[in-house]
Parts: sequence; C-alpha cells; structure tokens
Amino acid sequence: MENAAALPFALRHVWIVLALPLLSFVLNGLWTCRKKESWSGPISTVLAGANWIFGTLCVWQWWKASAGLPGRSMVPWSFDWLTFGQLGTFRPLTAGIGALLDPISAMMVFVVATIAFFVHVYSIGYMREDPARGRFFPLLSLFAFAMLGLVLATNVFQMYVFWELVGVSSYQLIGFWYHKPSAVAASKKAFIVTRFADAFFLLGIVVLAWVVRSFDFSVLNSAAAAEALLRPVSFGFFEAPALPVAAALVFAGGWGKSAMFPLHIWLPDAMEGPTPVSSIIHSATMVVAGVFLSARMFPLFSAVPSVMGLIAFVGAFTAAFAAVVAIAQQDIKRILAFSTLSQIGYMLFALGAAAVCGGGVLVAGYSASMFHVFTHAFFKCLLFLVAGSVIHVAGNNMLSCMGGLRTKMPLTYLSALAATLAISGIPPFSGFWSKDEIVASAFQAGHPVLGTVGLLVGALTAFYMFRFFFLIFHGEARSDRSHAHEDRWMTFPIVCLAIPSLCAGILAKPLFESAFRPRLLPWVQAVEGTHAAFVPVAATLLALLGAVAAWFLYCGPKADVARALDAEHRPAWYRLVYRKFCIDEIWLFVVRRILFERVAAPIKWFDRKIVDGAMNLVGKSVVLAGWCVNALQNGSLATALAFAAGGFILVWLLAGNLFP
Amino acid sequence: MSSPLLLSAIWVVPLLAAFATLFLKRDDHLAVKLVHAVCHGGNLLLAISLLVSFLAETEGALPASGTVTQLHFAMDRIWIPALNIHYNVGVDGLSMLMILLTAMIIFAGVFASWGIRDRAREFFILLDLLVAGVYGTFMSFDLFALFLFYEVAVLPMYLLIGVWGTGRKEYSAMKLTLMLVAGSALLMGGILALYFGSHLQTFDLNVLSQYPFPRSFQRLFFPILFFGFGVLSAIFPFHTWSPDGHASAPTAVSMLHAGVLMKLGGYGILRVAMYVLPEGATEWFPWLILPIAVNVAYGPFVALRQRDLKYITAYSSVSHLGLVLLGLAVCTFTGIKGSAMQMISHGLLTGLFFALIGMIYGRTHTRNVDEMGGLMKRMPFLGVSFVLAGFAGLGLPGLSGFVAESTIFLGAFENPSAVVRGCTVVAILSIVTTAVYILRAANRMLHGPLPERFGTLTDAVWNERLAVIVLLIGLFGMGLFPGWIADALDGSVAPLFNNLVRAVVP
Amino acid sequence: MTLPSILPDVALLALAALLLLAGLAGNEKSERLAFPAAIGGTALLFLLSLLVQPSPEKFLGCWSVTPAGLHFRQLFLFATLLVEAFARSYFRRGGDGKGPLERGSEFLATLHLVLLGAFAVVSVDNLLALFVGLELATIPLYCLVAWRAGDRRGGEAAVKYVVMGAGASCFDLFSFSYLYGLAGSLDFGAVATRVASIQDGSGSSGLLRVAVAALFAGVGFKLTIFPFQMWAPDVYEGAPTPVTLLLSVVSKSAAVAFLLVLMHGPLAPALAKTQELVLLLSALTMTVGNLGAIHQRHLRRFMAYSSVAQAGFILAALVGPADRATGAALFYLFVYAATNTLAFAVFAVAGEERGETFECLRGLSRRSPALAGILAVCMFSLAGIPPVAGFVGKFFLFSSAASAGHYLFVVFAALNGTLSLYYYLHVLREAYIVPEEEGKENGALRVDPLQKVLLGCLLLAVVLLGLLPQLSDFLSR
Repeated sequence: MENAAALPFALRHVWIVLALPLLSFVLNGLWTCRKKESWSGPISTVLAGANWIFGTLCVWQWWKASAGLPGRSMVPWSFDWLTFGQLGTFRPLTAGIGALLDPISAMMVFVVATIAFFVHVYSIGYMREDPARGRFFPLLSLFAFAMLGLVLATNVFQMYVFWELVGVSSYQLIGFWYHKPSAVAASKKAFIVTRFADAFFLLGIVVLAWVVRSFDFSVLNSAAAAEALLRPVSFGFFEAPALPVAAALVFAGGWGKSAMFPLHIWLPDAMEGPTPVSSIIHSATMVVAGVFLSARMFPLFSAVPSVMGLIAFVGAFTAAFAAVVAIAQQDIKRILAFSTLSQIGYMLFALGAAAVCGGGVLVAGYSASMFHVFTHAFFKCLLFLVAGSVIHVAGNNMLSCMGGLRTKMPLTYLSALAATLAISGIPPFSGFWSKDEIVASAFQAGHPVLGTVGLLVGALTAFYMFRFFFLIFHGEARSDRSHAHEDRWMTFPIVCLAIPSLCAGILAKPLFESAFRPRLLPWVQAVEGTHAAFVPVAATLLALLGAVAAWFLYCGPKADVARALDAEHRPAWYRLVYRKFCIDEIWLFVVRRILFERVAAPIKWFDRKIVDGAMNLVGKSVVLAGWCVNALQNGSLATALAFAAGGFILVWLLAGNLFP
Repeated sequence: MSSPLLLSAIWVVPLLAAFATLFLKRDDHLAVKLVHAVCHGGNLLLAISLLVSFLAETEGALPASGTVTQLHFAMDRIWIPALNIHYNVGVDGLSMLMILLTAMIIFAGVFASWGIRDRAREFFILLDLLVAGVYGTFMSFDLFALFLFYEVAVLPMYLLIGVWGTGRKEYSAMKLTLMLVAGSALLMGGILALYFGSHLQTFDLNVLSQYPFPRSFQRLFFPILFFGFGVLSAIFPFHTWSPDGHASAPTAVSMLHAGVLMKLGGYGILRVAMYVLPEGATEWFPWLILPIAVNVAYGPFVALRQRDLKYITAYSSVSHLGLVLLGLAVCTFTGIKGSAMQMISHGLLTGLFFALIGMIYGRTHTRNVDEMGGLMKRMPFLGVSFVLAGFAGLGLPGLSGFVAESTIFLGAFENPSAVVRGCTVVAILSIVTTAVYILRAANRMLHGPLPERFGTLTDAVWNERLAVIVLLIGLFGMGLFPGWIADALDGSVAPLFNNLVRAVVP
Repeated sequence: MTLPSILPDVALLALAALLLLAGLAGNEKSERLAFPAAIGGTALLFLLSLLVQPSPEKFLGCWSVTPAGLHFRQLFLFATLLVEAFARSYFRRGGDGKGPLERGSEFLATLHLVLLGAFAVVSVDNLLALFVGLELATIPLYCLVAWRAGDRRGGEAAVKYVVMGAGASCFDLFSFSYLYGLAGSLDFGAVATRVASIQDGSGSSGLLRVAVAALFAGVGFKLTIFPFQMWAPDVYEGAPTPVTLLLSVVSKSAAVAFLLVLMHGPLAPALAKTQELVLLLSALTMTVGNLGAIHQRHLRRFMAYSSVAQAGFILAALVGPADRATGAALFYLFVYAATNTLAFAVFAVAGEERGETFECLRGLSRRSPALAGILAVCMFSLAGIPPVAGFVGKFFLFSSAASAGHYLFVVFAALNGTLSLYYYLHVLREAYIVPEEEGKENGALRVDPLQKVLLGCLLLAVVLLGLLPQLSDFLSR
C-alpha cells in the first residue's frame, strides 16, 4: 500500500470502479425492477458509462504513476476481509479485498469497462420489448462488478470470491428466459461444469495457503514460495511435491472457466441466453478469466515445465478441435462460440509454448497472449453484437433463414466485414498482429509442431468466419425482409467497436511488447527469441486461401448454398463434426448413467434400507420382546408361583458367587 | 446495562410467553400469535443489545492465552446443594452468536407459522419450551443445567411433529424422539462419570476442564459423550431420524430443529466432550473422522435422488453438519473456528430453506419437486429467496456458506495426518455434488413452464416477507462482513484450542 | 416444648380405632363424615410428623423413631393422604364405569392399619417385630383388593394376591429363621456382628446365602422385582382404582423401606455383596417392566407394568452408599407418589363413564386441553424428561448408582428410560394425535371440587418439585 496521499485522485479511490456497477446492481435490483421497468436501462447505462470514463482515467493515472515501479505493479487500495489463523499468532492467514494495478489488470479493466458500456447501450435496443428487462440490467451490472473484482484481485482468495460471483451472474444471465427449459438446462450445465473446475481451484488455493501461509500474488509468485512448494505434501490418497500439483489444480480452475476441451461443453449451450450476454460474457471477459489467471500465476507456472506443457497442449488441441467443429455449424451463435473457444485456445497455447524446449521462458509468448486477449475482446464482441442484430431481424439463429442482408443493414455489414477481416488475421487489421506474434513465439520457443498447428487453425478460422459472413450478408434473402431495419441503439455500439477491431493491432503492438514483461523467478532465465520472419507471410497466405475457398463455396457464382445449409444428407464424418463429436452425449452418459444411477441410487437404497432398516429393526425387536413378556403373563396363578420358585432358585444361584 | 440478569431473561421470556398463552381463549388465534410475536421480537432485540455490549467489552481484548473460557455477563448461584449443582450462566463468543441465531430463527419461525389454526395455544407453548431449552443450553456452563436444558429442547418434539406434522408424522415423531433421547441417555452416563470420576464433586465446566482425567478414563468416556451429542448432529450411522423428522415436522419446528437444535450436538461436543476430555479427543478423532467424511460426501448423493423438497433439505443438513463435525475433528484452531462459523451459517441457511418450503407448500400443497415448475413467475419474492438460500447452501461467496466452508477447508488441511487430508480432499470435492442437487431442486421448482393449476398462486404476504428478510439479513451480514464474527469466535475458540494442544504435548 | 417422637404413631393408632368405631355405628351421618375426618386426620398427622424430632430412645423395647424412619413416616403419610383424597370420588360417585363403592369408613380404617404396619417396618430393631410389621402392612391389602362387593375380577385378583402373598411371607419367615439360626438372637445388632464374622471367613456362609436368597424372594414379591412380579398386572387391574394407587404408592414405599432397613441393618457388613445382587435384579426388573408395558390397552394394567419398571429404577439407587441411596430413594418416592396420583386422577376423570382404558383418553386435548396438559406433564415426569420433577428424581437415582462407580449401568438404565418414554408417549398419542370417533367429541367431563384441588396441587408439585431444591435439601438433612 504505497503512501496513499501521494497518489492522484483516481488511484486513491480506485474502489469506485467496483462501487459503480455494484451501485447499479443494488439500485436496479431492489427498486427499478419492480416499480419503473423502463428506468433500469438508462440508469445502468449511465453508470456503466461513468465507470468506463473512471476506469480509463484510473488506467491513465496508473500508467503515469507506475513508471518507476518494478513491473509497474502497485496496490493503491486494499483492506483485510477475513483472518483464518488466530490474531496475534506468528502465522495468521488473512484474506484481503483490494485492487492490484499492473499491466495485465489495467488492460483488462479498460477492456471490461469499455465492452460493458457498449453492451449496455446495445441492450437498451435489444431488450426494448422484453418485459423482464428490469431484471436484465441489474444482472449485467452484477457481472461487470464481479469481473472487475476478479481482474483487480490482489490475492488468489479474492480472485476465487469474484470467480464464483462471475459464475453465478453468468448462470443467472444464461438462464434469463427461465420459462424456456433449454435455457434452464444450459444455465445449470454451465454452472455445474464451472463449479466442477472451481472445486479443484479451491483445493489448489487450500494447498498453496497451507504451504506458503499467504494468499497474495506477490508472495505466491516469489522464489521463497516456489522453494517451500517443492517439499512433498500428502494429499491423503498420495504423496507428491506441492508445486506441480498445486499449479495444475489452480490451472484446472481456469480450464473450466475458459471452457477448454473437454470442459467446453457448456459454452455452446450458453448461447441460450440473450445475445448481449453472450457478447460480454462468452466472448470477451469471463471466458478469458482462465487465461488471466494463468497470466497472473505465470511466474509460478513457468517454474513447472510439466504444467506449461499441459497448458500448451490443452490450448492447441482446443484451438484445432473448435475450429474444425465451427466449420459445420448452422446456428450463427454456435459458430461464434466455437470461434471463441478456438481463439482462447490460441491465447493459452501462447502462454504454454513460452516455455522454451531447452529450459528458460520466452518473454514474447507472454506478451503475445495478452496482446491477443486485448484485440480478440473487441472484434469478438463486435461479431456477437452483429449476430444479435441479425437475429433480431431474421427472427431466429439459423443460417437457413438469413442471406442478402447486405442491402438492408449497410452499417452492420461494413462493421461485420471489418471484424471478419480482423479475426481472420488479414493484415493490417488487429487480429493479424496478435495472432502472428503468437505463432511466431511458438516457432521461436522451439515448438515447430505447435507453430504449424497455429498456422493451420488460422486458415480454418478464416474459412469459417468468411462462411459465416457470406451466408449471412450475401446471396438472396431466405426469409421475408419487409420490416428489416437497423435499430439506432444497436448499430451505434457496433460501429464504435469496429474502430478498435481495425486499428487496435497497429497502435497497441509497441505498447504490449514493451510493457508486458513477466517477472520470472530468479532461476528461470528469460529468452529473447529472434523474430521468425517467414511466419507473417505464411499466415497471411493461408488466411487469404481460407477466405477465397469460403468465397468460392458460399458466395461465388457456382456456390450451391442450398447444399451448404442442409446438414442431414452429408457423409458420416460431416454429421459427426456437425454433432460436435458427440462430446455432450458422452458427458451426459457419464453423469446420468454412472453418477446418478450407479452411484447415487445405491447410496440412497443403502441409506433407506440398511441404515434406516437397522434402526427400524431395533424398534421392531423391542416391540416383539414386549409381546413375548405379555405372552408369558397369561394371568394363571400356577405360572406366577412357578416363576416365584424359579426366581428364588435363580437368586440363590446368583448369591452363590457372592457368598463363596 | 449488560447485567447478567438480562442474559437469564433471554430464556425466561419464552416461558413467560407460554404462561401468558395459558390464559387466552381457545379460538383467539390472533392474540396467541401477537403475544408470541411481541415476546420473541423483544427477545431478538435483547439478544442484539447483549451482542453489541459483548462486542464492546471484547473490543481491544488481546488474544486469549489461557485454557479457561472467559465468561461475560456471568452469574453463578447455588441451585441444588445435595449434588453441588449451580445455576452457572455466562456467555463467550460462540454462545453469544448462537443465542442471536436462535433469536432470529424463532422470530422468523413465529411469523412463518402464522397460519396454524388447530390448537394454536398448545403449538406455541411447546415452541416456547423448545426455544427456552435451546437458549438455556447455549448459556449454561454447569453440566447439569446444560444437560437439563438440552433435554428440555427434545421434549416438545414428539407432540409438535405428531399433532401438527404432515405425512408419516407419528412414525417420524416417535423415531426422532426416541433416537434423540437415546443419545441423551449416553450423556446421562457421561455427565455422572465426569462428576464422580473427577472426585471434585462439581459440574462446573471450567473447573472440570482443568482436572487431569486419567487417559484410560478419557479413552472410554470420550466416545460416549461424542456419540451422545453426535446423534443430535446426525453423525453418520445415527442420521436417519433427520430426514423423516424434518420432512414430517411443521415449518417452524423444522426451522428450529434443523436450524438450531442440530447445532446443539456440535456445540455440546465442542463445549463438553473436547473441552473436558482433550486427550480422549486427540486419541479418538483420527478414527471418528471416517464416519464424518461419509456424512459430508454421502448426504449430497442421497439428496440427488430425493423428490421431496424437505428430504432434500434434510440430507443437505446432514452433509453440512458433517462439515461442522469435520471442523471439530481436525483439532486445528482454524478448523474449530470454521465449524463454529458453519454452525451459525447453516442455522440461518436451513432456517430460511424450511421457511420457504413451508410457505411454498402452503400454496402448492405438494412438496414433490417434479410436480412443480415455473413458480418464479407467480412468486418472485419466494423464488429469489429460495435461489439465494440455495446459493448460500452451495457456498457462494458473499453469503455466509462460503465464509464458513473455506475456513473449515483451510483449517482441515492444516492437520498433517494422511487420513484427515484424504477426508478434506473428499469434502472439498463434494461442493460439486452439493451444487448439483441444489440447482436441480431450484431449477425444477422455480424455472421451466408453469403448470396451469398453479396459475393463480399469490406471492409472500407481509408476515412471510418479514420472516424471510430477517434470515436474509443474517445470511448477507455474515457473508459480506465476516470479520467481526471471526474475531468474536477467536476469543471463545482459543482457550479450547490451548486446552487441546496442552493434551497433545502433556 | 418438644413433642414426644412417638406422638404420630400413637395418634395414627387412635385415628384408625376412631374410624373403625364410625364404621360400626353404620348410620348415614357417620358415612358422610368418614372421609373429611380421615383426610383431616391424616393431614394433621403429616404436619405433626414434620414438627416431631427423631430421638434415640426406645419404646416397648424395640420401637424407635430414627431420622430415616421419620422421613419414611412423612412419605407414608403424604402418600396415604393423596390416596384418600383420590378415593373419595370413587365412594361418592363411583368410577371406571361402575357404581360407587360402599363402607367408606371401614375402607379408611383398613387403610390406616396398612399405614401402621409401614410405620412398624421403619421403627423396629428386631427381626420378629419387623416380620409382624411387614405382615400388618400386607394382609389388610388382600381384603382391600376385593373391596367391590360382587365384582368377579376383584375376587379373582384378591385370591391371586393372597396366594402369592402367603408364598412371600413363607420366604420372609424362612430367611428370618435362618438368620436367627445363624446369630442366635433376633436383634439386628447381633445378626450384623455374626454376618460380619462370616464375612471374615470364620464359618461357612451357606446358611447366609440361603437366607439372603429367601429374603430377596420375599421382598421381591412386595416390591415387584423381576421373577416375583407376575402377580402385579392382574391384581392392579382387578382391584378398584384407589386400591391400585395404594398398591403402587404406599405398598411399594413400604417394600423399599423394608429392603433398605435390612440391607443397611442386619446385612450391613455384606452390603457390597447384596448391592451386586440388587444391581442385577434392578436391570432385569426395569427391562421386563418396560417391555411389558408396550402393548397395554388397559390403563391400570399399563400402570402396573410402569410401576414394575419404576421399581427397577428405584433399585438402581440402592446400589449406592447408604446415605446417598436412602436420600435418592426417598426423593424419588415422594415424586413418584405425586406423579402417580396425578396420573390416576386424570384417568379417573377421563374414564368415569367409559372405563379406564386407552380409548377413554382419545381426543382429550380437544375436549379438555387443561387435563391433556396435565396428562402430558405426568407422562414426561414418569419418563424422566426435564423440566418436570421426574427428571431430577431419576438424576438423583442415577447419581447414587454412579457414585458407586457403575457408570455403564447408568447408561443402561438411561437407555431403559428411553424405552419407557416409548410407551408413555403412546398415552400422549391417544390424547393428542388419535382422532376422536364421531358422536363422542364433546363428552363433558365432571370434575368435583376436591379433584380440582388435588389436580392443581399435584400439578404444581410435579412441575416445581424438581426445579426447587427445598425437598432435596429437606431430605438430605
């Protein structure tokens, strides 16, 4: 906590960044959602705008104030929330709530605040007719509050607290239209899958807290913590050194939240929620939480080559898997969902691949991943907003009902083109710069295989994005367009977001390469790789190839659009890809058949029949004994006298051992 | 004005309310309820004022280093000279918080049972007896008085469930009463053993805790006391009374029973078994942790298969109580503090759950989750409260559940032995199954299409809103600002932990 | 001026004689006066016994008023007062679905003779006088059981009671003669010294073993200990209700006094051995009593098994050291007397027309909530559940047993208490839970003023006796 007095105003009161969305949630949640439905939209948008301005001011003042500080990280505000050990003992474990500002968290604050504001503006238009909009805006503000809290976390405990709050607000928003059973099922699936990963995350936190006796990132990422973690720790069922296990457990939290394979099943279903929800949560902010967590714990993770390998492999495999599946999808939001999965795969494998084969860590990998997070946020959010307004016009999500929207929605068309060019990695747009750096860092770090996978996925990305683009905007209209128009409230944010999609790459490149350098542990030496010159050329060629192929198949003169859209009469492999390799069905089988039938049912039977049965047995046997005593008591004098005599003999025998 | 008499007034006020109800006419329901609303409301205010003065007194207190619990508002008068029984009443951090919890739940309980018509006077008199017993147990530091109040709290259960219950009420009432009284039979033997075994001829807990009982004595009598109290906390083999009992009990009774009475078991273990027989505790707990771990992991799975809402909540109580016992069984400072917090958090949580289920049952006349659906549209207030209670149950940060559970997990991991470590890992991973069954129940009941027969349901009326809001304030209060609770508990857990540590290194 | 300690005994004899004379007069006026006179007299005697001080001097060579003896006198007078107050309504209006009983004054006179026998048991110091006292306390009961003229069940019960009683008397006489054979003298002191010498190993203890066995057989009959309690259910059911109450309260107290006098008198040196025996018999008795009571539907038979079980619990106290055992037993007998009378009073009111079975209690909580409340207090006191007196009573019993180190036995006894709660709650189930048959919902219950007073006082006693320490202090002085 630097000397608070010297800090400029915005930094001293950085808590306002959290307070504004919370105020919007409480205000709207308790008051407007019942009385004045129509007021909740404007109020929360105004507060989101204020938060955007204040957030940018904070980032700017932080940029100036932290010039001299190591790693530019500072904690302008924090307080002790809960102590676990006993006050006054030598090692009390305290969990605090505060704001840690350093390059990656400042970048994320700016991104979240910006996108939150634009999505709020967009939602006013999108939710105008929806009767439950009074409930929508508070939940959106709650999400913004939780995400900002997560990003500003000074310690891993605070990050877990806001991690769960993010999970809950996404649960509420996905299941917003709760009268639809599919939305309810999707929200439950999303929460339970992320909760499954969070359990491992919590276990990781508990292990770290026990070994290192502190939650703070500064302490966790220090050399002392790494040494302490090398000692073996017993986990009840097995004994293992704490560092790799704890690092893997903590990454598992990110694995579920960022929907990496095989825990990705919840993200495509999460599209059941309203599109503004998808645009903010499932494109730019929440799903990036896993990457942010790995970046935050990068110094500790980089000391464990096995975990870095795991991250790289999971990232690369998900990127490839998602790209392949995205090609065959018919629902435009599912296409964007899988595209998000693929891009997050990119970010993670950039972090993972930073570990050079011969030891040491390539600094460029870390900054490339963060750069891609920055650029991806804008164009993916834009794509979702475009999809939202297109669905608003076409009535449903399927590609079969779209086509020929170019004339009706010119501004949306142009913005969509910008975003598609950006995501496909066509120079000079933003996607090219960040994706190129990732692939280049993979080659520099000595992972040629990963590099080529990155390039091929880049081509696939271009292909399915342009397929998405051509089938929506080009060709003849496949449903009536009488009332199609561009809603003012929805088009304004689309156009605003188009600007960063175009120029964010060029402007931010030098900033990211200079400022975003991880503070590695002393015995891990940083490697400055040489720039693999051939990568940008190869990437661009492959991207153009993908775009041309898509044009030829879906927009060109000989394009057979009807065949492109029907997924039934297709070869077996195509249908398999269309049904997302049946991963969902496998999970459903595992959970329902094995977990519910084979485990829960026998336990319930055991509880009702054996344990409960035993208690009832005791009761019944006592009642039976009572019946026997009564049967003995048949009231005849002879039995009474016989018992008396017998009793005398019994007492005499008993007295025997007493009076030898 | 924090004189000891006020503390004793806490358990006398419910008895006064019961006495006043004797003179009311049979069909004068409203008068009965008003009397009780006033009395328990007053009691709640009294409890809050006592808490405030308690916190003021322990403001700057340095951490307790001794092994004897410091009592506040203490009062010690001779009661029955023949057996040197004293009316020894006092409060430390844990007792004060539990008294506040009881006051909140009975206050909500009175408003949740506003619809009782049949023999309302008897219902409320028995409820007062139940609450007076609970208050007395939390504040008495004389073993005899504690045991007397402990059993008084069990006395009205049979009639309350038998007369005003639903479903297989007679079977459940008898089963619940007999298992709890059998548990307290063990305590009768245990308490007399402590009295005569220590040759001190006293029931005073603080004095008994300093007496070095021989190790063989402790090895024999610790399990007796542990299972005596444990039966009330639904420890694994003896938990079967809890689902049946709570499913058949009327709303206020299941609120009070699951919310507070089940904590008496954990509190008893903490205050009597571990405090007086520390060597016995450190020797037996490595073995007792296995049934406790079964408790924690076992409850959610069975709850998954249940259809009746009350059974689901009852099995969730079994699981949460398992966490309380886990916190105690690991014998670390943070663990014990965590279990104390879990007692409070689970009390609020289950109280709210049963209140809401009672209100919803009052409207839909079915507790089967499959028959209901889409209720959120008709009853937004009850729906949102149920979802909040559910999230508190599965340990969402910002609500009381998370604070307690994380403290227990952190505390449990500090115990180095492999068995305990294994149980802790199982407990941590069981938060997933907890989330599964809570969300299944909430979604199936509140979301999805609304059956037409529930088309005309009304939302909560004023007395139900008051009951729910009181408990929600408790949940959020502890969830958002856990600091003051943690400090208050430090003072009460420290002497017990020092006593326990003294046992390990004699 | 200090009253002579013998005054209560003499006054009792006078009262009994007076009542007999009133019976002889046989006219209407004396019948009506009998009950107020008897109740007034007994109350006066009770107050007298509270004022009198125990003194070591001996009357008639063997009769003295010891401190424990005085407390037992107060107990017997208290119990008899309750029985008389309870019996009046049976003689005035009848009960249990039958007509009123006749010859009230003779009934009361016989009652007082039983009382005199009980006084004798706690006052004498030689075996012969003890035997006479015991017989005086038992034989009048045979005819009281058959008091209702022409009642076949009563006659049958009386015959069983006589035959069993005769058997028991044989065992007593057999045991006393052996003790006399051993010690050469009837005096407790001499017998005690001889038993002490046997304990030290001089002379074979075969004779002593037979004497003790016969003694327990004899007292087992009167105190309904396990193998000898077979007569109790039939006699309790057959006898008219006041006599059943008399059996369960006064006769049992006398039996406990008899056992205490013997265990801490002549057989004192072998106390450790006899206590082991008592421990075993107590465990058996309470278990059989509890098991028997589970399936009962007739109230008096139910109370028979309940009193067998309570005898088991009282025996548990006798396992402790002498002073603690006597104090605990006395306290519990006071509480038991009050609780049992209260229970019988409720049964009397509820069962006046319909007969005293479980059905008469059905729907009591709706017909008369006050009576149902009193019944609940009774049942919880009998089961030993706080805050009513039964709990503190049981706690004293168990503390006396625990002081002798039998902790696990205390746990066993407490579990038996749980078993007893099972059938006591069945009574409450009838009153509160079982729905009333149609047509009988609003059967009005007639409660005459004396019964109201009795119910009120006893309710106060049962609720407060446990919480207020006065009684336990008074007994421990």
